[in-house]
Amino acid sequence: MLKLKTGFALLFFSLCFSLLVGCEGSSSPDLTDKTKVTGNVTDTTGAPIAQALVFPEPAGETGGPIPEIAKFTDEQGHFTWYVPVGTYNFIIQKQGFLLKRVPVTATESKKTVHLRIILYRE
Amino acid sequence: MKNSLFFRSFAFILAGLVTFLPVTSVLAGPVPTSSDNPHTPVASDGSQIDPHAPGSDDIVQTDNGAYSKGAKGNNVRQWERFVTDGRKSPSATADKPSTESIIGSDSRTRVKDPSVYPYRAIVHIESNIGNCTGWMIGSDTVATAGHCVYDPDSKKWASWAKVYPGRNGDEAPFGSANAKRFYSVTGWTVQGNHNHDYGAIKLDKSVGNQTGWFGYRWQSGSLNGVNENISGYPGDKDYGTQWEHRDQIRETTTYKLIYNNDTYAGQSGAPVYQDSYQNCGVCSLAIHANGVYGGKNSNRGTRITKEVFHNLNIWKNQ
Repeated sequence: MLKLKTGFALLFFSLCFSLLVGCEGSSSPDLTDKTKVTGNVTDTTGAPIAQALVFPEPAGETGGPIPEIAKFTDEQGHFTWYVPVGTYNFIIQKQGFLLKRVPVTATESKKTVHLRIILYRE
Repeated sequence: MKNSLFFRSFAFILAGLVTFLPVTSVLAGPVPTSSDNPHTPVASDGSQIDPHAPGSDDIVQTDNGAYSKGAKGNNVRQWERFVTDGRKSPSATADKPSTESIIGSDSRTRVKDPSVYPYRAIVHIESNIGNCTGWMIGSDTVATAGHCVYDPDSKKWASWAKVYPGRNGDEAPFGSANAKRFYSVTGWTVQGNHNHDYGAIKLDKSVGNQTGWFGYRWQSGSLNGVNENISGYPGDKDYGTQWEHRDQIRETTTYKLIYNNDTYAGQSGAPVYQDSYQNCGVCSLAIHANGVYGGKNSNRGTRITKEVFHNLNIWKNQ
């Protein structure tokens, strides 16, 4: 009888959990949960670097999905990404400079992050 | 007695849940209508979308799905040569970029001659949103990822886009074409739901008559084990060069296909395709969209489901 009761209890809690979590397939992300990550990319003299490729790579088991679109810095060396809650390595690369990885943690309470990135020549 | 009390309590709570569930469903939101369908197509200029799909010659029903035939085009060249601002590979480490979307070592190989079919039906997309890949699905229509035409974060369509079929660095053997309209679905533009991350570009010229276009198909059930290729324009390589990598479908979900092809930023929108399938010809199964995330060491594309298939047909026919 104890096993039967345990079984019912498990069934009951499973049902409650399923109701709380909902169905994965029907969920849609809340865009307001994203963190806006902006940045300026310069060389060691402070001159802006245009056309540097910037891409947030999800790190570990949190973060993403990230669209695999190629975003480049503008003429002022500026970029903007929006990322879901999680941890990332922002990868910045440009010919003639060493590739740089910058860790960023996006949380529900952290709505904006600004990065100042200096690339070093090879 | 204790047991009886336990079961009575259990039955009471269960009955409560069953009664309460429909109420919570109503409170959670209205019952979906056709306008809430995430596959409802939308156009960047707000134009009405003719729901009429192409004729039966273009679409072939199969036992568990359907396909739209590809075509090789007439291969008439219209060369454009230009200077790409001297942009080469953006990093000295580009040949071994140990990033998440490269699974293990980088196995991508450069397409030596993208002017041959089917590579010439793959386009390099430049836009104010960013650079992507797309693939011709008709004479003047390009399929791509939704995030390549609409940014749900800024809630804006791309304001312009230029596509280069079969581009090979500084050379475009079929010239270029401008976008005159973008398409996606409300599941992406309103909900920002990655399950519905797909779209299309209508071009100002019928360059597909020269390049040809891809076939594409949907089928119910698993696609696991199907050999496929992804070819596109990654941002970590010499600018405007096309790269490919072959693998197979590793996992099939309702909305996504999952595979281990190496990809990189800029390959969004690339076709995930079979070299041959029945009379479909070169036949696409998905639209590449995301790299590795969530602890799963694989890349993913938006699966061409029955609904996606229908919308691609509609956009092709506008």
